Amino acid sequence: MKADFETQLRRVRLAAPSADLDRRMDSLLAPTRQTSRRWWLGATAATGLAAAILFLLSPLARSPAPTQPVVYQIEAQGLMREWLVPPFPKSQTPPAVIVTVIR
Amino acid sequence: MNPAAIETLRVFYVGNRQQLYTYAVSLTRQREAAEDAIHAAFQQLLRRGELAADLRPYIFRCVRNAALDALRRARVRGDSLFAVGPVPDPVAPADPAPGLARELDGKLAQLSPDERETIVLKIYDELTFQEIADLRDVPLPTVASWYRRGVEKLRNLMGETP
Repeated sequence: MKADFETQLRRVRLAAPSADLDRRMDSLLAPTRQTSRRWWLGATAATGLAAAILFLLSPLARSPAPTQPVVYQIEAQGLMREWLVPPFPKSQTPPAVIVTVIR
Repeated sequence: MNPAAIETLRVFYVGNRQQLYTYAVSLTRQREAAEDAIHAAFQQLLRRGELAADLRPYIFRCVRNAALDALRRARVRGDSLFAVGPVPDPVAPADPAPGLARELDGKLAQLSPDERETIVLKIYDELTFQEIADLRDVPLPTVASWYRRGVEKLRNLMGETP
């Protein structure tokens, strides 16, 4: 009996959606619309990637590496050694050291 | 969203357009709002990027959410989910139950929203109880109870003997 009642309910004709909805859905779900959007996104991404690669490979002047301290070792004997190597002798004031470079 | 998923949505719409529309009108009670809700639901689905494994309750739930949003915004007009009134399409089959549509429309309105929605989904949209439970996010026995109570009330309202 219940099945008969349900069958009776199913027989009632339903209101149909309009053709306008079908047109809107065709437009929304059309594959070409999605493909053309992806084409633009792909082109933009490829352009950005190419620009990044060109930038990295370009022979731009790079800032010089920070200078490392240059260490020179000199021999100092006698009084010179006393003046240059701490502890300095208290009796005498060490003179100012002037460095000149001879070619 | 990849072309295969879009094609899946398109095929789903073509195969379920009547059921989706019936459901949306039963919720919004307004044909234009129902069509807007279906369109909005599919727009949302396209933006999400991937589809759920169980497509049917998932898409019906999206339509439900969009329809309830539309219902909140629009004033209810009282459009029927049944083809009441003159038949506009000359090639449509004759209504096998003339008059029943109007009576049923009025009687369905007297059920609770849950009972009415469950009957529409089960009888006219042909979802299973499990799919309705997934869509509504409620236990299956709750859905079965809504359906059983709704059908019994409907039979009593329409004077059918059980």
